[in-house]
Amino acid sequence: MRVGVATVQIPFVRGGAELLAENLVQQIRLAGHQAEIISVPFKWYPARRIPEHMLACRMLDLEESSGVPIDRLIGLKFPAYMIPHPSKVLWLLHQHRGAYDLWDTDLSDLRGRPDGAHIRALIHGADTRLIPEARAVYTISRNVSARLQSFCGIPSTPLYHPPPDAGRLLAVTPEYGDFILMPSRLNPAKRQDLVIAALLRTRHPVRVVFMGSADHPAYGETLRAQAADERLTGRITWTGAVTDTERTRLYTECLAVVFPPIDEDYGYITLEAMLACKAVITCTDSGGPLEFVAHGDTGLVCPPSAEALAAALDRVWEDRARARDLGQAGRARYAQMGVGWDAVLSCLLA
Amino acid sequence: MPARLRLNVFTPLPPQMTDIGGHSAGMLPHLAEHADVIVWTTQASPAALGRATVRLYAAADPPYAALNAADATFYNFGNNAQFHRDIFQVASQVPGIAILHDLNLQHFFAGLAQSQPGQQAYLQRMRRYHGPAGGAAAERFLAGEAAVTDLVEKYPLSLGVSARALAVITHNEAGLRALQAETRLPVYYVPLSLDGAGVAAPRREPARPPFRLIVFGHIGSNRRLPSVLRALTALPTRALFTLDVYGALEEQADTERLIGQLGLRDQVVLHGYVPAAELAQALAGAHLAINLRYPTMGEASGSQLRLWTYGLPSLVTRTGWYAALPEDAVMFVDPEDEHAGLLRHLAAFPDGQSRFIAAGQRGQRIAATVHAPEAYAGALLRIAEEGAALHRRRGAIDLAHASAHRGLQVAGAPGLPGIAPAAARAISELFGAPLG
Repeated sequence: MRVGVATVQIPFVRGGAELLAENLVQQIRLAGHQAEIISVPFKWYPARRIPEHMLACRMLDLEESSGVPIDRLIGLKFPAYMIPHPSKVLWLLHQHRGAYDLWDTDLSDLRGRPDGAHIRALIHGADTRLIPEARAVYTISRNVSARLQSFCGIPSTPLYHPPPDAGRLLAVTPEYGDFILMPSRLNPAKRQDLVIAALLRTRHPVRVVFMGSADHPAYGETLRAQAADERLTGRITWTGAVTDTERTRLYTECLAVVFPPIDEDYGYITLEAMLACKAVITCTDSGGPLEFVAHGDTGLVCPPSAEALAAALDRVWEDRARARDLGQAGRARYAQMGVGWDAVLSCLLA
Repeated sequence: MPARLRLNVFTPLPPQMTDIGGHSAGMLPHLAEHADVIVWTTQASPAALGRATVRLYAAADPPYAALNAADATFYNFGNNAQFHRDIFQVASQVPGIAILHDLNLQHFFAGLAQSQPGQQAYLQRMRRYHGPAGGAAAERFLAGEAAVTDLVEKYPLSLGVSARALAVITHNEAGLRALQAETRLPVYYVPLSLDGAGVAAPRREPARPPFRLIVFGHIGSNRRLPSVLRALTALPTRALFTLDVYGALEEQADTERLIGQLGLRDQVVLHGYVPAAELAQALAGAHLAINLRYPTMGEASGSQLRLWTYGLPSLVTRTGWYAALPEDAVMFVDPEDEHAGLLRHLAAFPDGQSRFIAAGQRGQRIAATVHAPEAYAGALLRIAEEGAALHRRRGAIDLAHASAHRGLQVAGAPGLPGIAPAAARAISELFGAPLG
């Protein structure tokens, strides 16, 4: 089978979506098929560019390549999943969130733009019309499926997949050091700012290592300015982008993982933490992580306020044995869930 | 679409002296009965509007997020740049539905061209909508070599406010067809409304002299007051009539001089702008209204609706919106035979009052039904409910333009026909809006 994995690429930005596409292609190849990432560059501003990108995707012809049919197209991201194909299956990472679940928040790229409502209506219309073209619609999480059902009335099936570092993390012998890890790109939706605000309110001198680079340098500067408070001296570390080895080391050595994004689609970080036997501290509005973290069992779930998050950080910091227990329960929970590529491929290639 | 629509409305409001404001003030409370309505204004002390919420905005920094929260946005446009400049500034950025109170917007855009950046925009707009000839006319106007009145008929700029519009509403049924021929945007005809509630319309019966004629509104040259004065002078029975003129006169001194020259000082009174109650009393007490327009800007006449709510018989010019009025609801004056027409109607009035009164009553029924604010509000709601389709249509048009633009860059004019069908098909698939 020749399989095209259709996604978009925001040049110079690399995150979970890129890793997912690469791993999917790798797994399809391991299963004995040919697979290729077909990536379309995407720029979402000014807002009028969005329908132009939708049209550009719609005008692509991927039925065959070099005279040989492409047997299956797997659409991952907006608007690449609009590329027409007679045997298309969607495995949605997410839709254009600024037009959907983020619309009523300051994180929407559209709401504060003059033609925001207009572009949003166009996206809704095209999604509702074109997503059902696919022979099957899957998503990466219950959260993404719920949004698709809620906003577009389109049913779908969630397919969980392992994070890219699953094998490496599964092999580590966890230690429980003197820092809490926040592994995320620096981005307002990931809410590093909330973690910094919480650190200003903890009773204990909780230390946090922020692992990841900034999507936009200015936002990185904003966070550093927020952290330039003498009460936080020596308590925050910014690693920037890290190697895989360093990433594994940090997961291995951290006491716990804090991951409080706004309505995350899925979130490898949760699964990576569970694999590394680390408790996950997340928030009640964090979306994807809530599909895996059970409060008081595999981590702590708190309201998205600096005070509540500070209390959760303190709890983990002051009771390290409890942190270890939660982390080990997370590893056990991961094993029970049967998250693996076989089930994913059997659906996407059926 | 939520059960109760959220609507933005941009409009002048009382106490600004504009019929559009009066229309909106009468209609919006009805609209707000069925939808959550926010009326956006830059006026300092606008009138209250029932359940509708009135909010201030800064035209230079519109509250986009708040505007985007609505299901549809309506923009009211007329010919007065002072009343509609701010509205146009927002409408040029936030897609919405343009309500054209005037089909000819040359005066409006010429008004905007008073400023230096406005001049460049005016030039570009005239070229865009009226081609090289329009551009040349604009250059003459900006150089002071042509007056706006020279441009009005040939270069109406009717769709100049629709560059970002989702749809256009006209109050003029004849204008509907003309606009449809010029744009791919949806165009709707909605009869202008006037709130007649609270009007104490008198029971009209044949009266004895003196017969009170009335002219009211903003009296510019197209209201034909000099013609009316000359007809009155030429009328053998002129002594039976008086004429009361209410509203601001554009040519006050000239009019006063003419009244003197024609010997009409005892019969004609220029009242100027008066409080609403005084005008209402005058309309109730008048016997015949003269509501001429020539040339017309294509507008539906709020003044005419007001006259009808009082059951007042009226003379109108057989042109534009007026020409489509029922023969039994007004008395027509042909523009090319204006003097004779006026004389004929005025001469017939003393002994033919029953016919005039019947026309006024017929007009009164039309105003209360076709032009009821409830009906107008209902039409706006139905259009707003089509919001998703309107967005798709606009999106398809914009993409077609963008595709053509890029196609020209790639293939040049000879190659464009080879690219266009694929683009058109893809656009139709995206939005389900065939580019017919």
